[in-house]
Amino acid sequence: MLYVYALVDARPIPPSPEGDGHGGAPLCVVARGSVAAVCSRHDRIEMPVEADHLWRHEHVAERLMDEYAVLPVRFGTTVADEDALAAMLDEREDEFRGAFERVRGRVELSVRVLWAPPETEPEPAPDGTGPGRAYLLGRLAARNAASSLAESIHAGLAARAAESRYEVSATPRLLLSAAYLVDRGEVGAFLEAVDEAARRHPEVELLCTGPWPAHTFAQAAGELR
Amino acid sequence: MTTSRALGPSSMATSEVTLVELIDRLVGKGVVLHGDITLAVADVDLIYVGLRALISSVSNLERDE
Repeated sequence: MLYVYALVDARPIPPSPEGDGHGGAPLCVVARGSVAAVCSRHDRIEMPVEADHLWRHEHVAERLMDEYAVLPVRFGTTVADEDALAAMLDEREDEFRGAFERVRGRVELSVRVLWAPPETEPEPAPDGTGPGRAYLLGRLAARNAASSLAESIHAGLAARAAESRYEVSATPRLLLSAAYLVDRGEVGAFLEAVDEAARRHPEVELLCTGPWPAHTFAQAAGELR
Repeated sequence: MTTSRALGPSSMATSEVTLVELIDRLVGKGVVLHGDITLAVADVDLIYVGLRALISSVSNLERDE
């Protein structure tokens, strides 16, 4: 069977990439039309979600990024054989071509905004509401303010990206998770904007990672889970 | 080979944050080919529980410094 790491733009069809796949297996290419899948062959494969396996998959995709437009494939994807894979590539060639154009020359940056709850206790309410209720209301107001702030930070960063996606999280600490598709040449400016936002808004924490291959933008928005 | 990726003010616990982001991307994003995904749905759910826990612990770690 074939384990699939990534799809790359196949004009011209790339040679088998350097480097190893899972278990040291050599990488190979199955190309149809203008789409090539980078794979490795295995008699059988089990792929527990462990750091080493995840990084192996990731590094294959990253090395390809230096030369090609790359669409990372979801971890753990296997296909029975070359014919089955070729049929999938044929069937969705237009979709993949569109995605190549979207991610070409761009990388993904991730930003999570975490709430840093206020250190000080809120003032007691003057109107006789109980201290517990006042505390909860104060905390709720602070979190709501932080949520609005997270969205405005996101809007500022999105303006520097070719495309962005975000989700608001209903967890106490994590306010917002966002991904930005950024032109390679703009990454430095984007990171400066993140640092600037972090300096100006100590009431939230920003976790920024990247650059990544365009995992989040590999599919059209409507197809994401 | 694993490069350090967490950037900006929260460079503490960099490798943990980076691994969380990697898991999130590799198992939750990317092109879905209609082949076989070797992960069970239950595994993926567990990963997301772990992801939330880790994000929250990373952030607590930083606050405790």
